[in-house]
This record gives sequence, structure tokens and C-alpha cells, in this order.
Amino acid sequence: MANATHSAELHHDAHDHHHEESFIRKYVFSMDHKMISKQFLITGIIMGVIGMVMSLLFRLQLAWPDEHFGFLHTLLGKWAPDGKLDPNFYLSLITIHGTIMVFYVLTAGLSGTFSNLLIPLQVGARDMASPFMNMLSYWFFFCSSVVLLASLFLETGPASGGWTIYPPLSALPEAIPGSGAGMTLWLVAIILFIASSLLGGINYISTILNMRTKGMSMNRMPLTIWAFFFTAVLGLLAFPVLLGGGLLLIFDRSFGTSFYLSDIWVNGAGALNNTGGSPILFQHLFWFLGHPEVYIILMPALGITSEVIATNARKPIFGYTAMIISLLGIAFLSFLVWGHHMFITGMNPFLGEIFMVITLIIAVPSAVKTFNYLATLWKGNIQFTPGMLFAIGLVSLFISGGLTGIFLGNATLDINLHDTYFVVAHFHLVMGSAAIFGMLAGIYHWFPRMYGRYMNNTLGYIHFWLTFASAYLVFFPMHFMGIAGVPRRYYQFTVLPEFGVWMDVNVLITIAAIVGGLAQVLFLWNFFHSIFRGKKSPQNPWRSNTLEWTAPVERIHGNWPGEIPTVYRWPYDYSRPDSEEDFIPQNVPDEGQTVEPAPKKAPAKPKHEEVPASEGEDGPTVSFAALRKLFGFAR
Amino acid sequence: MSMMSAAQTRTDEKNYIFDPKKFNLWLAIIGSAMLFAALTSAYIVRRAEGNWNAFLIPQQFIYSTVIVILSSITMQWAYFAAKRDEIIQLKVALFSTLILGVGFGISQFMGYKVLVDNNLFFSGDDVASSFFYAITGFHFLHLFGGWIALIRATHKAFKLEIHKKSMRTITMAATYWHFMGLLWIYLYLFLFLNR
Repeated sequence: MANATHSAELHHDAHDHHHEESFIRKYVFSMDHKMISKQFLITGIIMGVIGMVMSLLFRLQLAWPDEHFGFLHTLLGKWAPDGKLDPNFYLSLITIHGTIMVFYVLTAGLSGTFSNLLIPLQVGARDMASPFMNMLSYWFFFCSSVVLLASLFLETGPASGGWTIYPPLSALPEAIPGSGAGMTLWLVAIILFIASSLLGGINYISTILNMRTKGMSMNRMPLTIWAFFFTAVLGLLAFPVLLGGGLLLIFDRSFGTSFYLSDIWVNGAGALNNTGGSPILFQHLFWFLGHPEVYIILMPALGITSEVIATNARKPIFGYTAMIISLLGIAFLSFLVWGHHMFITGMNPFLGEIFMVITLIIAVPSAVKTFNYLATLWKGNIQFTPGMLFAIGLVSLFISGGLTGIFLGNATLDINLHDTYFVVAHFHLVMGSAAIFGMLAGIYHWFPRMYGRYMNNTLGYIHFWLTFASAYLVFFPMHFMGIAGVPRRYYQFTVLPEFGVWMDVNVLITIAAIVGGLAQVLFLWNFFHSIFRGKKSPQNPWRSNTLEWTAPVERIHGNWPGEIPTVYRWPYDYSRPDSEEDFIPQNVPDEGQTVEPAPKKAPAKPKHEEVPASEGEDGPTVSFAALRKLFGFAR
Repeated sequence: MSMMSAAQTRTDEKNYIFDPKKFNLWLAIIGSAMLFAALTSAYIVRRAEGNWNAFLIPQQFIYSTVIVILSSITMQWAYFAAKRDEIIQLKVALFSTLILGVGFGISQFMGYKVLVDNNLFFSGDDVASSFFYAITGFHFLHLFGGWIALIRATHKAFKLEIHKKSMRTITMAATYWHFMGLLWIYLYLFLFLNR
């Protein structure tokens, strides 16, 4: 494989001068990271729209459980007889909505898009470590999406045991129709997805560690790159575990083993032949991936936010080193807290306590990040671009969603709140909406880099405010429902009189969700229209420091027409008091700095150490040296 | 693009800290190790819950272990031979590694046959044997990757494309092969000690 790639590259370089790539090599089986990132983005957006429409369908059911909507029958056929959702299909909708949003949009769509676009461009590389693996990564993802969507057309319906696919519900077709062929396709789709994710992640790590340009030591990397790096490491360590868990589930479902299944009594068929399987085992394997997975979703969004906020506040990011160390802390702790999803599985209370303490410690690095964002904004010369609004929106949602995490992380409170709307509200704010906001911030910010055009600002502002308002209107009331004990994943609350008081709230939530959904139509129009008709942008529209803006707008293989730029400084030299311009790109040397820093030599000291202490308090100083030692990657 | 020549790309590549393709292999090995960490952890958790029919691991798996150690030795011999430009030794060593690799596969297969003869199946309600088949089976899948790497390396060795200035193929094949061997030794000891 390596050989094939190598010769393909050579072939490419040798012939690029005199012939154009064929359509298929350029747009379909492209090995260029910029094209692959666009493929990820557009597939992710399409999947996102499908996931969102699904959520609107089940919100309709929750708000007007006894209403019959004629168009639902037209749209869904037998899944909505008389225009009312079939209960099993309702469960399928929430399952596939969760799966699509968690994996396909916020893992592949977010990390796949921006890691692919920004890693080579921001570290100064011509392409990924292995462009061929990168191409495979996208096509595995594509096949996975196709398999998952194909399951929607099955006679027995798609998987419906929840996105967490706990056995025995997910293992027994007798329990729920979706656990038949639908679940099989779900598992196939996820295994393809894991392959895609690993192929991509390996490339991201390798590119970041090995292919940085001259002068780009680890301590000069933009925070986006740090975030993508930790994300890829988490994926590499966590996804194989889900693979193991998923394969054992496949064995139980299709090969008659007893890893998770025991002698369960099935109505009409007697007891199963299996003995002694442990469904809790699956939960351990699942959440060992599942918890790092929420940081795989969130961390790229946090990295994008750091970059967008610093650029648009025209200020150095506050606490660069603290930002990196808090990312590292979050990444490390995320592997030790999976048990907080399982407090009520009968685990030893002592074990629960340990998981609880570690869980609550995550609040510390998260708070460090939040305060650093706010401190970066403080007294900044803020440019309210749509990207900046979404980045600030992320900070807001991250705070409001994160606070409820402190409640849920408590084992005792979790007994009450487990599987209620409180949980739904918590993770939709802190991980769902926040990560989507980060993704949208990234799209608005790097759209000029991807397509050489701006997106429409006015539409962007309307899109932001409608989305922001609807995110809060949808998810904030759910906290109160959850505290009152309203369980998640129920089809219809009218049959339970004590939940009748929440009907008005459900209507409010659904209306807000529909408005939020319509706002995304504005975004879609803006996005696709701007690709072709948007105002042309200059090379560096946001006057940003990072290397991707030094490459020409035209899509060329190898990113830079001449030599790769050399890096002389960290990426956050905004509003330096000693400079005429309010930004100094990374490839601009200081006066007197050697033009050609010798490789393998420690990087020249960042200039701002020379700024008097009173003015340079927010810049990293001593800790740079520590970090350099810690990672030892400086050249 | 017009200004960028193939020579330009090569000077860029010289700046790499590690060879990215070898590095990718190491990362893949880490990922694969995590899969087996998950499976063996699941094994321990499930075993601790009782209802576990322990059985003796057939002798054939000891033969496998010996074969895999021998094959790692010949693999390393091939690597050193390539480094010293001893092309004949390289071919012999690679070929014997390949034969030992196939021998490992056959030995595993015969081990499975003994298990089946003793009514220990993958499918069914005996989770101890299911785990045994699953864990060793995933290792067997890794063997296919090893075979492919070895066949490619042997093919290249016969075309005289492996020598001391072109070591990438043999280094990667050796790295993977040693990983596969080490993984087997770990799995064998694990299954032996935790049966």
C-alpha cells in the first residue's frame, strides 16, 4: 500500500506540469487534503440535515401526540399510518438521529473536515502523511453513511435500541423490530465508520508530529492543531475498543455466542439458549469509547473557537499554554470517567465515588478554557463576523451545558436524573449545540480559505441569532422536565397523567425546534449559493496569522507554489504594541531574526518575552521552556 | 505548481522528523493493541462474573508460540541481512519467515481442530471457549496482514529492491511481524494464566 501511494505521488509530481487531473482523480477519488475536507464537509452537512429533519419529526410527535399529520403519511408511508408516527419508528428516529449527529456529523463532519483542511495548511505541509489512507478514510465514511441510510428502507425498520445500542434490546429481534436487519446494518455502518476514523486519525497524528515546516515547533502550533491532535489520539485509543465491543455484539446476534446474552425469557419462544452473558460488559466497552467520544466531538470545536476568537478579538489568545494543558487534561481524564454513565447499573458505590471525583475534576480544565476565552475577549477589538458570533455562542453553550454536568456527575443526584430530559438537555447543550456552533464558526471562518469567496454576512447574522435562540429555547426547558422526572425516549406522555402539565412546554420546544430548523435552510442556501456566487475574498480576509492564509486561494496540489513558508513566531501576535500592523503572520521574521533558522536548533525565543512584564502578562513566558522539554519536538 | 519540482518535494520530505509511513504503522499498532486490550479486559470482567467453563489450552498452541518466536528471529535475520546488503541471506531469511508464518497458521488451525474435537465451539453458551476463539481469531486476522507484508517484502527482495539504501519495506514488515509475534505471546500467556 505504501508503495502504491509512493509511486502515485511521484507520478503526480512528475506529470503535474503538463496535464490536468481527470475529473475522477480531482473530485471523486481525490488524494488532495483540501478536496477530501470538502467531501467530508458536504457529506457531513447532508447527514446533518437528515439528522435534523428526523429530530423535527419526533418533536412533532412529542408536541402533538394525538394529532394526525397528513404529510407524515405521504413522507413516511407505513411508518406513519393515518399521519401519526408509528411507536417503533419513533424509537428508530431517535436512534438514527443520535447516531448520525454523534458519529457522522460531529465526529466525521467536524473533525474530518477541519483536520483535513487545516492540519497540512497550518503546520506547513504539502499534504497528509499518507494521502492514500486519507482518501480511504473518506470513502469508508461515505460507504458507512450509505449503509446507515440504506437501513431506513428496510421492511423491519432501522435500528431502534438507542444510539448506545445496549444489549439485550439491541441483540434480540424478538424484543423490538429494529433489532433485526436494521441493527445488523447499523453495526456494519459503525465498523466501516471506525475504519474511516482510524485511518484518518493515524494520518492526523503522523502529519502533526512529523511534517511541520521549519520553525513550526510544537509550541508554535495554532490551538486548532493542538485540539485536532488530542482528538485524533483519543480516537485512536478509543475507537478500537468500540470495535471490540461491536464485534462481540455481532457474534451474539449472528453467531450464537453468549458474551452479552443470557437465558432471557422471550414471550412465545421460551428461554434463550444462551447462559451467563453480561449486558453490563457491553456498557463498559461502549462507554470506554463513549466518553472520550464526547471529547472527540467537542475538542475540535474548542480548538476552532480559540482560533476564531483570538483572530476576531484582535488579541493574543489568553493563556496559550494553559489552553494546551487543559486540552491535555481533558483528553487524559476522559478515559477515566466512563463509569459515570453507569452509576445505576449496580456498581460498587466506592467505584462510583471514584468515577464521580474524577468526573468532577474535569470541571477544572473546562473552566480554565472558559475563562481563557472570556479573558481573550476582554477589552478586545472585537470583529463581530458570523464566525465570531458562533464562536462566542459556543462559549455560552459550553458554560450553560457544562454547569449541569456538575449535577449529573454526582452519583447520588444521578439516581434521580438518570435517563430523564435533564440528561438530554445537558448533553445537547454542552456537546451537541456547542460542537455544532464550533463547526458553524469554522465553516464561516474558513469558507474563504476553502472556496475563495465570502459567505453572506447578513444571512449569517440571522442564522446565528435564530439558531442561538432556538438552541436555548429547545434545550433549556428540558432541564425542568428532567428534574420533574420526565423520562427520555418515551413516545407519548399523554398516557401518563402526571406528565400532562408538560404538554405546553413540549409544544414550545417543538415550535422553537422548527424555527431553528428553518434557520438552517438559510445557512444551506447561504453555503451552497456562496460557493458559486459569493463575493470573492482576498487571500487573508480576516487578517489572520496562521499559515493557511499564506497559501494562494487557487486549489493547487502541494498548497504553496514555491517553498513552504518558514515559521518565526507563535500564531497569536495580534495588536503587538511595537508593531505598525495589528497582526504579524507566523512566517514574518522579526528584525534581526535569522532568515533561515537552522533545523534541529531550538526555536528563537518568541519576541513577546522582550515586551516589559507589565504589558506581556498574558503571554506565555517561562512555561514555553517547560513545554518544549516535555514534548521534545522543537527543532 | 509550475514552480514546484519533484526535487522540491524531496527536499521538503528530508525535513520529516520520522518517516511518516513508518510512523503510521506504529500508530496502527497502537490502535490494534487497544483492540486486544479491550478484548482481554472484557475477558477478565466476564470471567470474574462466574459461569465459566475453564479448559486446557491444546498443546498445538504451544507449538504456535515456538514457531512465532522462531519466525521473529528469522525476520530479524532478514532485516540485518538487508542492512549488510547480503541479498542471498535476505532471500533465505525472508523465505523461511514466510514458511514459519504459514506454519504458525497451520498450527493454530490444528489447535482449533483439537478444541472442536473436544466439543469446545465458538458458538453456543460456553463463553470461555467463545472468548478463546474470538481473541485468537482476531489475532489470526492480523496474521493475514503479516503474510501480505512478507509476500511483498519477499517479492521486492527477489527484484533486488531491498538493500541497505532501501530499507523501508523490510523495516515495516519486520516491525509488524514482531508486533504480531509479541501480541501472540501476550495472548497465549494471558489465556494460559486466566483460563
